[in-house]
Amino acid sequence: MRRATWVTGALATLLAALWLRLDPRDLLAAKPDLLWDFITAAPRPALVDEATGEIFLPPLVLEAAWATVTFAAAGMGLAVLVAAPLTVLASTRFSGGGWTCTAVRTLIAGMRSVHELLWAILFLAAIGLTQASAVIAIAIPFAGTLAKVFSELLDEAPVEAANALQAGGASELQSLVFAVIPQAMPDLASYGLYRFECALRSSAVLGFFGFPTLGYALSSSADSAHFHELWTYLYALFLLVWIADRWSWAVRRRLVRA
Amino acid sequence: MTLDALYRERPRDWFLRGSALFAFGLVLLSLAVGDYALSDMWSPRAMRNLSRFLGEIQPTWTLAWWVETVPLVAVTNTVALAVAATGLATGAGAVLSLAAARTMATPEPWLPAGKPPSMIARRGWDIVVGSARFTLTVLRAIPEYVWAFLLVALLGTGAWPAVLALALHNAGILGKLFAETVEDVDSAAPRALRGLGGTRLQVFSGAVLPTVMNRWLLYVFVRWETCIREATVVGLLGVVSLGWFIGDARSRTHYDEMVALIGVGALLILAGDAMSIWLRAKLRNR
Amino acid sequence: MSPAFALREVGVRYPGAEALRDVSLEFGAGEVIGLVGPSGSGKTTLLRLLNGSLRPSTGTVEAEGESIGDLTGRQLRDLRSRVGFVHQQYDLVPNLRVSQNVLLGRLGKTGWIGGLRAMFWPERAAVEQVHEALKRVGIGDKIFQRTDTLSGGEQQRVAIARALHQQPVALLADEPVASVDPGRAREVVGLLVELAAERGVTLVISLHDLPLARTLPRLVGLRAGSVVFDRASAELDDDAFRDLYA
Repeated sequence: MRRATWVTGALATLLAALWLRLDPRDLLAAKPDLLWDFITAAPRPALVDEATGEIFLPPLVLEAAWATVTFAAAGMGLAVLVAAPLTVLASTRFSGGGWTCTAVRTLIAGMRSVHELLWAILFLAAIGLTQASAVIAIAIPFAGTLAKVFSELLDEAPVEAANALQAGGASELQSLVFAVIPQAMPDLASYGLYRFECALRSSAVLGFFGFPTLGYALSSSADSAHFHELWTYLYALFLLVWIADRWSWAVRRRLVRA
Repeated sequence: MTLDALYRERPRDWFLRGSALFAFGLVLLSLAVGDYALSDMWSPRAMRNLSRFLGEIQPTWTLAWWVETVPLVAVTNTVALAVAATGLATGAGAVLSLAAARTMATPEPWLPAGKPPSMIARRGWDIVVGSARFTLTVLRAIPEYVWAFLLVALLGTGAWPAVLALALHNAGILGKLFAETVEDVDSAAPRALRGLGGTRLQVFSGAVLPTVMNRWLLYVFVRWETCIREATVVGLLGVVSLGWFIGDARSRTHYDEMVALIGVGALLILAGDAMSIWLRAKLRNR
Repeated sequence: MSPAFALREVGVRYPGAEALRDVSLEFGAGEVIGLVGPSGSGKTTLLRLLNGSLRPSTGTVEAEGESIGDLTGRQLRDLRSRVGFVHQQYDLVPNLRVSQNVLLGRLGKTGWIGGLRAMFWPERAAVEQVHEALKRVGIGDKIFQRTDTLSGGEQQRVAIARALHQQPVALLADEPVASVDPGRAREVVGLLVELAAERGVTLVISLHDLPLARTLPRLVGLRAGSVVFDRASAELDDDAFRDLYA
């Protein structure tokens, strides 16, 4: 059955490629001059802006990076706050199943089904360019995903310790809170960290829509073909994500170890 | 030892505590110091915008209007994008994972050689692993949207930038996950095959692949779900997926169309999720 | 004075199986009783009846003269907080500190506030009690270690300390030494008996190791859900045990 799945997948890929009329020769017909300029600018990122040559870039880069981080952190913070009650309600163990559980799960699926960029566009159209809308645009789908994964983790965590506490007189909810949640904590934290990395990337991309994160700088540099500047910001983005990745790995390693 | 002494000596992970404090502090700082006021959302201007917006999305509720407005080709394109990108990413990720998995990319995988491998051989393989891992990291670090943006700038609009953008980013993710599973594989079976004189490729297909296949399939499914979301959105850059139509409606300020299309995108994702759950359940029961 | 526990013509039936059949027993306050029998004979079921985790299909279970079957949720939790239970697999939370695991034993009495304090900011008096309990079971120095860094035998002692921290009137132990080295098993059982004697606590232990069981004063033999014998262990000879496990 599994082999059949892989084969089906390969066939589907082929079909999709044909449907989209993907022709490998199209790749070669790309604009070689642009490509060459872009690649050769890589080892020499700009330290001053390319338009006037007067503005020193690093402070601007740091500003954009800081904006990226704060938008992501604020979005995640809000997401965790919203996800907490949703997690409890969506977990069959904690809420006992039933129609509240199903209703919350549907709500979560709905929250997740719209991409954060699309939420941002909705808010931009509905309310205008306020920076709060970026944070909320990240928070809504991320809260949904956190709630879904967290509730699944809680439902699958071992329950023996909770049963033992109940044998000592604790109520079911008490035993779940004080035995299941601590046991699931390493997995919860680990997934939360992964989501934060994703939030950083989403935050950067929101810049393409006018928010002051790294994406904004990327798009304006590229639009004016200032490739050296572009590389400066690309390096900054890469560095940011890489640092977050290393930190998250270090934390996760310690969570698992005794 | 006295209780107080024991308490002072208790094991504490300073890195974890520091990290938790840092994370908490960062979140508070970001919420407080950010250059926005949530009160902006209730300002008179915002409320006027909102009421106008709600008025504008009214016409979405007639069926005929829906049938006219929603381009089916956009939906199929989005799905095709996601499928093609996932397929390419899986292939590329698998290949890269072989070079990135330390248990495979060494002079003597799984079995110590008769004589110790030469410095050159070991350094050579170190470089292979290092470059493979670095490549994967770079691919992963750049968001799909940024890849797409760069590729559209370099290749023009069309299906390729979108497919490549999604494929590159996900190859980075899948490559890393695949490599980790390969490294975690139990060494008994590969060791046996290697002892019988199998080449790297034979050992992989005979002993490693069967074990990791299920895990890999699970990872591919999860990435496929994400790819549909990203494929929708990448259209905003000028590729013929749902996102293009959303962006188009937005620029014409036909917000009713825009909301309807976003709704269609949401339905698509929900359908994709449901199908993924169904498929995974079927596979689990076999 | 009513007995600590009494089972009167108790039967427990599951769909397709009868775990206990027509069992009548009385356990006096402060007594030490061992339950022996082959696996599947109903030892765990019997223990679970005693702390109200299980309702009998027929007959009545009494604790201190009162029928358990009549108890409401709150009263049932009250009963359970006065009866300590030690499980075969310790059932501790592995990534919490030993002190936190033991403090949580009293969750039934201390409620939500007590639980939160146990996790983040325990009262000094409570921690001192925990330390005393841990010293009594021989692992006082481990009080602030992470529970999963302890050995199996040490973790079992933590489970015992957790049960003791409840200050129970009765202590039930379901195969408490099955996951412990045989060398240590004797120590742990001896410890349980000593602790019970010190505090006047009724102790019911189920064991499958016969020589170990014979160190207990009174033994109840179960087989296929029925009581085969209920006597002082001194009066039992090898034949009785052979019949039980035949």
